[in-house]
Amino acid sequence: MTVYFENLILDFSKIQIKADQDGLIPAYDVLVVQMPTNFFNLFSSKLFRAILSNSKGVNNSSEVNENLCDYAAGLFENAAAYCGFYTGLGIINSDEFQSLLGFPDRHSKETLCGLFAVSVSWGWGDFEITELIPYERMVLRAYDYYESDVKYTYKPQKGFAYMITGVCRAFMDIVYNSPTYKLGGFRCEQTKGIELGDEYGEFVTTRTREEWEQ
Amino acid sequence: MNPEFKPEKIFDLNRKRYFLNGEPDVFHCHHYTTLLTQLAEDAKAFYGPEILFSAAEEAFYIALEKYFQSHHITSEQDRKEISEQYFSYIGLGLIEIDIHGKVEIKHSHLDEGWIKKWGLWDKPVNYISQGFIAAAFSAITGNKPGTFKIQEIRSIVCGAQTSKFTVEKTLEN
Repeated sequence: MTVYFENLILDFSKIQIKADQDGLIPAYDVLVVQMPTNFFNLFSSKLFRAILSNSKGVNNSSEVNENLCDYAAGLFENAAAYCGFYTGLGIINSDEFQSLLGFPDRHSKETLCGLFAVSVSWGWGDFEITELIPYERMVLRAYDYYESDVKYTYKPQKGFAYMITGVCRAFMDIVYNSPTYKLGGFRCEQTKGIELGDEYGEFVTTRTREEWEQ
Repeated sequence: MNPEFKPEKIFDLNRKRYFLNGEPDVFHCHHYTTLLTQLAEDAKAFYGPEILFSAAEEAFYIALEKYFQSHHITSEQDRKEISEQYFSYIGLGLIEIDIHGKVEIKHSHLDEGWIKKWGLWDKPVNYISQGFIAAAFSAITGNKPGTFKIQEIRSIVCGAQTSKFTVEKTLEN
């Protein structure tokens, strides 16, 4: 599977994603944009700093500010989940994906690997699925992911890889949340992070409901 | 002869990182950029829109300034043209910069993405492009980030055909 995954990453990294005459990049049923990674890290870290140093006089205790940070973290993770879900759907239905993977079954490890291969080729990070129980659970390790670069300018107290956290559950929903095909069938928790001093990031995705049909 | 933006794209297979002209870059979709913008709006009490603007300004200033230095792009006119081409290359849309302080965006990733997702809006929300414009004006004119104040006076997201911006030096400058 490792060789298969590496080859997929190489194949997807060769696909040209180019802007049209309007300076837009319509692809995979979404508008794509490519931006410096530090833009995303600057926005999240500056916003958390602003919340933690909240001195506006309204509930400005450290406990309240930490709760507000948790709330903001949830919004970042949610944005990533929507991004992963809708872009992921566009990706798996694209001709490029179908032909490169050989028209895989949607509920297969191949489809899941393909989605992560695209996200690696898009610069999100170096990923490895270390455990997978279809319809139930996935453990992903992330090496050298862009969200961990935040450690150079900000010391988060908790995992800061909202993009990967949201995308893990979104991809599991795409592949294994049958028959509803909606977000919300899985949750993901970041259990390790390079930005926290760990060797790699670890993301544990589990299902949220027991009553699914398989 | 007009200068041409030359993208140097590298996907580092060892690190699994994507670089554009030496800077780590990443692809995202309009769901993410519009939801981050909505998040900034929700965090108004903590200056969310200003923070989104300044993050874009800082990041794009570094990207443009590094490009100008490494490619020996020195004149304001050449820098302006490269900035416009870079904006389109990365998928942010179609921009026309008048270095005397007016900018028009004819197509916009953020506005068109927002409309695609939520429909028209009652006020401008394109803080990312505003940050880009501030960065471009600083890099074009040899000033530091934070030098220019941007106002979006007309917006595609509000139903206008194009977005228009005014650019002024801040009071401290």
